[in-house]
Order: sequence, then structure tokens, then C-alpha cells
Amino acid sequence: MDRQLNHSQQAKLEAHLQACEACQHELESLRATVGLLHLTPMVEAPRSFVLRPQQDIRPRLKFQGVMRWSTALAAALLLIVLAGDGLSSFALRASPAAPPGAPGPAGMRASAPENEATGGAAPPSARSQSAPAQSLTPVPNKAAPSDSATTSQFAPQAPLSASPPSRDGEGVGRTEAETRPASPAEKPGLSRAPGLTGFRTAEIALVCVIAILFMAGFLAPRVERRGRGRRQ
Amino acid sequence: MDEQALVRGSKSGDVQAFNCLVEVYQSRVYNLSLRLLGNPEGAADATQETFVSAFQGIGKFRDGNFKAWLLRIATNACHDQLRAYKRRPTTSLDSLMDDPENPVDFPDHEESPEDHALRQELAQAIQSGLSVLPFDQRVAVVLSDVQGHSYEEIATITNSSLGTVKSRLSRGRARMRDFLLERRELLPHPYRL
Repeated sequence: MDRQLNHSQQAKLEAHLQACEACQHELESLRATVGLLHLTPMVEAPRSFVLRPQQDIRPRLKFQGVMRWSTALAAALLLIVLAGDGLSSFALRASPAAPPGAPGPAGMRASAPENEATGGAAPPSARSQSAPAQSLTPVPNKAAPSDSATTSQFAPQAPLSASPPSRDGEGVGRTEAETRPASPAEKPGLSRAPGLTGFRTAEIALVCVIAILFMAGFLAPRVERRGRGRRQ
Repeated sequence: MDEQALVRGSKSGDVQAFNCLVEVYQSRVYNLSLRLLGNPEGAADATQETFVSAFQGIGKFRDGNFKAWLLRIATNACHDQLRAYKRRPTTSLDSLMDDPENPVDFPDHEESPEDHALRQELAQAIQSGLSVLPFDQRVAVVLSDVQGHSYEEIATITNSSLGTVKSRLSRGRARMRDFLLERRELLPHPYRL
């Protein structure tokens, strides 16, 4: 119908059509349909569609596209960082026995050597039960001196405890850092794990980046328009 | 001025250059929109939307077939409109397409009133048939059999392969034929299948 067949295909088709009445009828009806479609009249456009200068339509700048994608990327990163922050906080609260590299709040740090000093054989569950009272709730500042007193009393005995020193490195690298009394500057909200502080820094940085990108994307077209107005 | 120069001018923000292109293509874009949507108001909106989008996005146009690029924007604008109709059916799409109060043709003052009436009737029957086709088949049929584009051009406009175009066209024509055979009374007598 649209002359898309080569010579041999055309010859085969014609031979078949001569023998097959149904296909002849099919082809004729399709040709008639296409013929009708060709008769569809062209219509005049009801009005002119030219763009008026007062429509204030400009080609989109590449810069705007880049800004938009950068903002979206920064927002996505912020979401990931927020999710990481949330998960870390949740994990920290759920397991009071903090890993050696990321000690918990001051109260929790102070209580750990005490457990070891009292034999260290207590199962993890027992130890985790002994800790929550101090670790799950933020320790008020006034409690810090008593904690430090307890810590200083028991800390020297920690190496003598029955617990093997190789167990997750407990008691090996923590004496100085973890027996240090919580200073008054270490407010409960601020005495966070280094990882969490990193998350907070990243969050603040990303919020700043998003704000800058958004403002740049928002202001650039206006600045450009003003510049154009001045030139004109 | 040739088309390439007008496109270059448009890329640098020259509205006048772009308007020269609008004047060249507005009839074709409007007719495509009208056959895809079936109502003049929607077609006018889609046409305006097409030219606004084309001007805003002309920076992305690489040297090539400007007409095909423009008609692709037009088919996308029509598709968006149809989806919007479906989401917010304030007016029935079928009624928009079949309503005799929404003429799909403008009178040609050179033809007799009888011929004009016949042509109007034929156009309405064809429009009714087009409205039952799935959108991709409708695009293929309108571009090929109403507007006379080649398979290759349709493949460029619809961003699909030649095989896909042939398949859509074949199925669209067959469906159109079945519709017109089932509703022979819609066609004016001289045009009945």
C-alpha cells in the first residue's frame, strides 16, 4: 500500500492476491480507508500563535538547568545524611554497650568500667540492664562529679578484671578517654559520638549548599532580566 | 531567511526569528493537534503550548529536522492534554470529539454548500474513528495518512523505530477500517466503504 516492498515481495504479494479473495477484500478496504483519511481537510489555524514580547518567555538557560539538578542532588544527599543520622542515633540508643570507637554519653562511659571491675563475667544482657538507668537518659550536669568519682575509683582495677582484654578491645584504649570525667561543658546533647557530630556537620553544610543553590537559581534570571532592561 | 538561520536566531533569544518559524509551522501543528485531540479549543491550547515549549527548549535542539522536533513537542503536548482530561473530566472527551457544536472544519468559501456539508460530515466521521484509536496508533495514522509524512519522518517525530511505526500504522488503519465499516451511516453516502 505504501510501496515499501521490494520487487520480489511485491510479486509474491500480487500472486497471492490473485489466488486469495479474502486478502483482496482486506487490501481494498484498507486502501479505501487510507483514501478517506487522505480526504481529511486541512483546517486553517483559528488565530496566530506567534509569541508576543510581553509574554516574557525566554529560552531556558543551561545555567538554570544545572542549578536545578545541583539543588536536587544536594537535597538527595541531605536526605541520605538525615537517614544515616537517624539510624545511628537509633542504634546508639538501642544498644547501650557502645562500641569502643564510639562511646555513648558520659553516664554510660562511666558505668562500663564498674561492670568490669565487679567481675566482668556478667552476661551482656546483665550488663546492659545495669547501664540503662544512666545511659538512656541524659545525665544532668550535677551528676557528673559523682560519676567521675566512681570512675576514678574503679578505673585502675580494670586491667585486673577477669574479663579478657581482647574482647572487642574493651578496656584497652579507653582508660584515659572514658574515665575522664564529663566536664561541665559536655552538655548531654553535645556529648555525642564523633560519627553523629559528622552527620550534623554534613547536614548543616548541605542545608547551606541547598540554600545557596536555590537563591542562585532564583536570583539569576531576575538579575539577567534587569541587565537586559538596562541594556534596552 | 533560511530555517537554520532562524533557528540560530531563536537560540540566541530572538523572538522575531522564532515567530517566523511559528508562521511557517502553525497550520501544520494546529492540524495535527486538532486531529489528535478532536476539539478546536484544545488544539489551539496545545498549539500555543507547543510553541512556548519549543522556544523555551530550543537550546536543546541540535541541528536536524526542526519540523520533526516541533511535531514531537506537539504530540507530547496533546498527550499531556488528553491525560489532563482523563484526570479532570470536566468535559467528556467523547463529547468534545463528537460534538457537532464543536466544528472540526472551517468553511471554504469556494465550495458549494452541499460539498461543504459532505466534507464536514466526512471530517466528523473520520474524527470519530480517530478518537477510538489508542494514542500512539492515532499519531501514526494522522502523521502518515492525514498529513502525508514518510515512515522515516514519523519514526523521528515519535522517537521510535521504523518497525514500530509500521506496526502502529497497520493496526491503526485496520481498527479505523473496522470502525468505519461498523458505522457506515456516519459516512456521507458517496464515501461509504
